[in-house]
Amino acid sequence: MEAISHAGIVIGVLSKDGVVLAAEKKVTGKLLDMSGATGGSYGGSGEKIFLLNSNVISGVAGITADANSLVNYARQAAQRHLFSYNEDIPVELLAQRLCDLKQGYTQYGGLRPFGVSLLYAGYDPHYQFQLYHSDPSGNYSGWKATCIGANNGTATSLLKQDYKEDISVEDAIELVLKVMSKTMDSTTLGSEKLEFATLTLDASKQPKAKIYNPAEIDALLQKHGLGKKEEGDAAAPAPGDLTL
Amino acid sequence: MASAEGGAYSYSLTVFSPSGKLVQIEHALAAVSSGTTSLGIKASNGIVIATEKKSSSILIDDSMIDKVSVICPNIGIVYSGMGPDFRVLVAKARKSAQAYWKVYGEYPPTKVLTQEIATIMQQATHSGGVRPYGVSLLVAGWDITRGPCLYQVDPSGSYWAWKASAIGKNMVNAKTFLEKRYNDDISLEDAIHTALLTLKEGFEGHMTEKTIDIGIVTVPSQAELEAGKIEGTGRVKPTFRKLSEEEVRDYLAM
Amino acid sequence: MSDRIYLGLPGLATDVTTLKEVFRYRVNMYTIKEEREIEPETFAHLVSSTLYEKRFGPYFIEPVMAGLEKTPSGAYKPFIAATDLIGCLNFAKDFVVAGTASTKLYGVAEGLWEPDLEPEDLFETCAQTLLNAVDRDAYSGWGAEVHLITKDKVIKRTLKGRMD
Repeated sequence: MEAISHAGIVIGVLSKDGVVLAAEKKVTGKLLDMSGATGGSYGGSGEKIFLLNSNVISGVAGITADANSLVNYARQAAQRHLFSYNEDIPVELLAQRLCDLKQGYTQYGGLRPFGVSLLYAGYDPHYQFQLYHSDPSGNYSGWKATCIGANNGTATSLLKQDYKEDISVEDAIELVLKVMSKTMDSTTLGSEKLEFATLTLDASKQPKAKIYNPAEIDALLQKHGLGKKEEGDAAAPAPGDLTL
Repeated sequence: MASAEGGAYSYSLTVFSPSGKLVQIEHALAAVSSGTTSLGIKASNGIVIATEKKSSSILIDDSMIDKVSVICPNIGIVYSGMGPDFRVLVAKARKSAQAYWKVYGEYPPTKVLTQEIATIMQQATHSGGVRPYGVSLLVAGWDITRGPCLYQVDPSGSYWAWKASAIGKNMVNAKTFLEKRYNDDISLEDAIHTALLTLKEGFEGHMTEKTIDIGIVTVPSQAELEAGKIEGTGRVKPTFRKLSEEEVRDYLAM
Repeated sequence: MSDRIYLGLPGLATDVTTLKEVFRYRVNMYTIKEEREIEPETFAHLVSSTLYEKRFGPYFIEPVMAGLEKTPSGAYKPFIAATDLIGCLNFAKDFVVAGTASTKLYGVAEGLWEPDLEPEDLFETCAQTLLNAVDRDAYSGWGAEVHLITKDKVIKRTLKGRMD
């Protein structure tokens, strides 16, 4: 879908002990209020990376407004599953629930499809860590490393080149940041253009999502030597632009 | 006020064009950018939202025109675009705020209400038989967790948090002006003046207390917060209010 | 329900399980949407409206809630509340009771409770009230569980009743 190929890129990489997501933010501007940006493990949501349930995070590319509605649907679906079965929803089932909805919009009369692709990074006890991708038609598939949005061709080939079986989560973080820095339009990476999240297991073997806040992202970039050297002039956002 | 251009076209389905854009939303945005200018500025101790209200005839009673609307005691909104669409959205937003109050016994945080409005606007781009709303909104409010917050919502249902923003006819110039003027520790009083100055740029005709509408968010003091609900009414003190004509006149005179 | 909100659900056992799950659902949705923890008072309103939804076919439950409310200055203030089976709220300053022994609990609590009790004294008051009330009630008496909620920790103690 054309709308998505204009959207900011989202990359996901699966490793044996965690999943990593990173997203490029397209809307920037001097007067944007970043103080509301949350981080941390619970209930956080940025503009492009959302917590769907305690065991699933997702990255979206496409029409933001449509994405928000899908995120809300996913959260409800996950809670409905918890209510009925008293367990966290399996990742594939959650992806399937959303895809059934998306498929419906392509089939039933008079409605346009959702202009959104998603990456789901999740954990369930049966299949361990997983990474899924779904597109507006309602197709979904599991991946070791994939991306959606603008320049996804370049990013995919970079991922193919550098992805190794048995990659650790630390290496996955580095890989994601490297690919991100090479595919994004801007020359320098910074928290105003990047969102970042990981899903790992905590000490008690429970899935733990961490959506990084702006300060943490900058610290992470510095650590990997990708931080910005000078203050770049952020372009004013196009007010009518509805793809993030 | 902008009229719906494109006749019957704008009532047809919202569909993807080959380039991946939603044509009806582009039309809705066009309606917004031909509407009157509105702006909002977040200050260190509050928020101001303002707009011009032009009437087409001198015989219209200006005091009856409301372009800044109170949604609930802590939130107010202003619009650029189509008046009737705004009125409908205000009614829906107020209903949503009251529904929240009914469940939780308090009014919604600004972000939650903004999301509600955004959902309503998104649904209009995604259901059969309706056109998107032809308005952009600036939502200003105060809540205990996030403090003062200013959001912009577009016809597509996208929303962003701003320190300062402008929508409508003169938005590009107004935004450049705001970017130059804005600093993080601006006070509410200064913000109100900056808002008036920004509106003045590109204002057609004479700017008086009758031709502009202003709403402000104030941050309650620690003492007011600790006091909680006001005795007798069982309600907390409102944090959003519209400025009266007298107050606007005083600000213009300064 | 959260680190600093506790909910007691005396009543029909099936409704206890169902309501526990309903509230987990609603509190989770609140937390993820609002990106904050629910406050005890807000939660009490949520309980009330959830029960009133079933005004004409109610759950057979009379919930009691206890928690620590965050004040605007960042301190914590004790909070208790109870509702009837259709959600009529009762915000009390002293004590709330519910269950088959409620009439007896009222009597004993009335006699034992005093303002500004320290945590351990509060525990003793609560424990004595419960044990003495259930001894006078034919339907209850196996024992009790007391959760003492303080700002740093929650202490759980199990009490044995007469068991006859």
